[in-house]
Amino acid sequence: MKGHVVLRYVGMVMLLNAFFMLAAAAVSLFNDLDTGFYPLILSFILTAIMGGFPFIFVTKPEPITNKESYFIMVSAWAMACLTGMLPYILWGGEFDLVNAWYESVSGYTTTGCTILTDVEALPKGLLFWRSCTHMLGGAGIILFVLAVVPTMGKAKVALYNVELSSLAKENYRFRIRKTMRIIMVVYLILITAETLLLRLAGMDWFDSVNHSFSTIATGGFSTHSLSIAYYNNVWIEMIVTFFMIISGIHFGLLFATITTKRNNIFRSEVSRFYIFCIIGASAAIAVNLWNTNTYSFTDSIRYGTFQLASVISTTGFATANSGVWPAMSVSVLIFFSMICACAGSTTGGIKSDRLLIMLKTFRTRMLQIQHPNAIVRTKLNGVTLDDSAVSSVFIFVPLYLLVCIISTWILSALGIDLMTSFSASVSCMGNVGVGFGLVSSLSNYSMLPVGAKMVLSLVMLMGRLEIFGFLQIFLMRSWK
Amino acid sequence: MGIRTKIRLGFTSLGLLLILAAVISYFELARLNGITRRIISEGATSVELSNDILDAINREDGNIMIYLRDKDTVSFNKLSRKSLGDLDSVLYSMKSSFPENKLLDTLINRKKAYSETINAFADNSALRDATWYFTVYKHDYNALVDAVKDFMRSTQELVTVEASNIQQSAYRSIMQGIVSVGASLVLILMFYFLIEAYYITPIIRITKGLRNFLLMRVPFKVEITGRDEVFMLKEYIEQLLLRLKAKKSVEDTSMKN
Repeated sequence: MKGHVVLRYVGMVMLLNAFFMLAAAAVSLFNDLDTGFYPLILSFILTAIMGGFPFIFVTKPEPITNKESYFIMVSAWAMACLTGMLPYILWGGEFDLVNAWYESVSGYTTTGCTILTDVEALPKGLLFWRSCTHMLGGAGIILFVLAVVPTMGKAKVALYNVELSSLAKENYRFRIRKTMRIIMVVYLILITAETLLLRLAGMDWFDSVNHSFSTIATGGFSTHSLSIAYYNNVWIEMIVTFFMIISGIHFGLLFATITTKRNNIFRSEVSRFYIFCIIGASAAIAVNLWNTNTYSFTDSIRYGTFQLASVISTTGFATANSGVWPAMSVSVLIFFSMICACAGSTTGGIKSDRLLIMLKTFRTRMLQIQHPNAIVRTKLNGVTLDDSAVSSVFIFVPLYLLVCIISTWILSALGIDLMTSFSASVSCMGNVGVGFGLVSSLSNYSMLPVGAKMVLSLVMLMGRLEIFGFLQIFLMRSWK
Repeated sequence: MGIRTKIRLGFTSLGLLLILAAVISYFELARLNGITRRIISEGATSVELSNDILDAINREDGNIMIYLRDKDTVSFNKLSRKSLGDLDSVLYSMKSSFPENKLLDTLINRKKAYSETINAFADNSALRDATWYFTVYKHDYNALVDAVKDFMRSTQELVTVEASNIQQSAYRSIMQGIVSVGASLVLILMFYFLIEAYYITPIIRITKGLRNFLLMRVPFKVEITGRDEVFMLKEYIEQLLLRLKAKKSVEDTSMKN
């Protein structure tokens, strides 16, 4: 493996991080040089020097193998999280080494679960940096680099292939360059639109930008400890709900819908299934909340829909403490925090696509049993799925659940109650951020022991890299 | 970019990081030193001034007690004037040392009330008895002493807040140094790795290639990625070997002829 070439591409990711640190430092500068300025500017200098260093030696882009691209992907995510924790650790406050690492991983993986008990204590520069980590991680840091850097030769193809899963590549009928441009354009348009609407609904500019970064990246970091509940504004909740749901749909489909192409969200089976799940589950939760006298009828719809959208889109914002909701609502939320939204979006989790493929395969199997001689195929959007696509789903889902269960075991062994252990594991694996028990929607992860934070940060990275990508790095020796 | 420039740039980056670490640590420690010195000085001033003001009040209290026993008006007026003067000068020092302390206003008002009571006592002989002392005077005396204690407490609380700031600053100054040194270590590792990949390994390859050519007549084929002096060296060696080969074939032909 050509380590020096790996360093070059990881360096690019670090330079991108450095640029956003500089932007966050500028925010600090314009906010009366708040206490976040020096940590941010120092982090910028350190990250820029470390990121730029390999370019002294590796001046030209070199082609890379598949093995190297996997190594670049995992190292780039790890280095982004490591450099991303610098501003936190330099600022101090509630951030010790583990907390800073946890917050950084939570930001980049767009999980959005915080260890902060007092978010408002953070200076504006650092709040903006937290949101930037969401924005970078939401688009995928490598994808961001691929879109920004114009000449990367054949490496672009290799990196594109490992960063985007095969499911995510569906619905893109374009060359790589155009596909990446579409992803970035849709991403930026959604951020801009939400910022403007939130501003109109009464948020200030700073909060609007931060919450837009958080929503479209389906992250969940807020500028307030009470998250969206802080505003107690129905309009803001409606706007955020709409954008959370939209951000969970395949960006290629969104682009096709905007440009009135045939392959749009109304024709896609996956997006229809996703919307159906949202409507059905929201209704079920609202009825359950109303029936158990938890809220009034309108509040049941309001809070139920918001929390469901927040969980299914893996955003993790909160308007109510869903930890005290009746068992049925909690179980629905936990189920959808495993399934989550569509592939090709910024969300994590198993993905609706895989659930739909599983259901369709189940139906195919039933038909095959009824008609043993018939040739029955599993189709998605009218296209027959090949066996490898189906088998990859059936390998991924049990592996996903296995990671959740192992994580639950470890957390339980560390003395955490079962509900917290399980929901935190599921939440971090799906990059949702909202759990139940001690880590419910209006709570935080500060009280978890150090070991649990380390395990959960690893789980977040595994969830973000969809397990296989993460595990490849440990199987490098067998990869000849 | 040549080897010299690359190595120079590498060391410059490393040097920059270390200088940065040193400068930041120096400034943070200087700031820390400044805050610590200020806290120590403020704490000492607060204790000293509070002590002085309590001494002045107690002296005045003693003057009144002595007057009630001896009824010596001349001596009382003299001593009382001095004690009240001392009180005023300590209050003035307090005001200049802690201009933003809001409790100082209360202290000044209480002192004013106390002085008025003493002045009334000095002017009106009818008041001069033990009943006045325990009812009127002691009330104002206690109020003034309480105000001094409140002031002392508030300055000590400020010291606690400042101490917590010191803790934060100490954390930051140490952490900035540690992080910068950590980044320098990462850079050193990277530097070592890149020098190994771009210079040491190619030179070993060239040496092995030449040895194999000389000892076993294996063709000299070495792959080098960079385009710097090491690459040029390999190119020149290849040209030299080609020339030697050509010369040898000319010699062989002439020998045959």
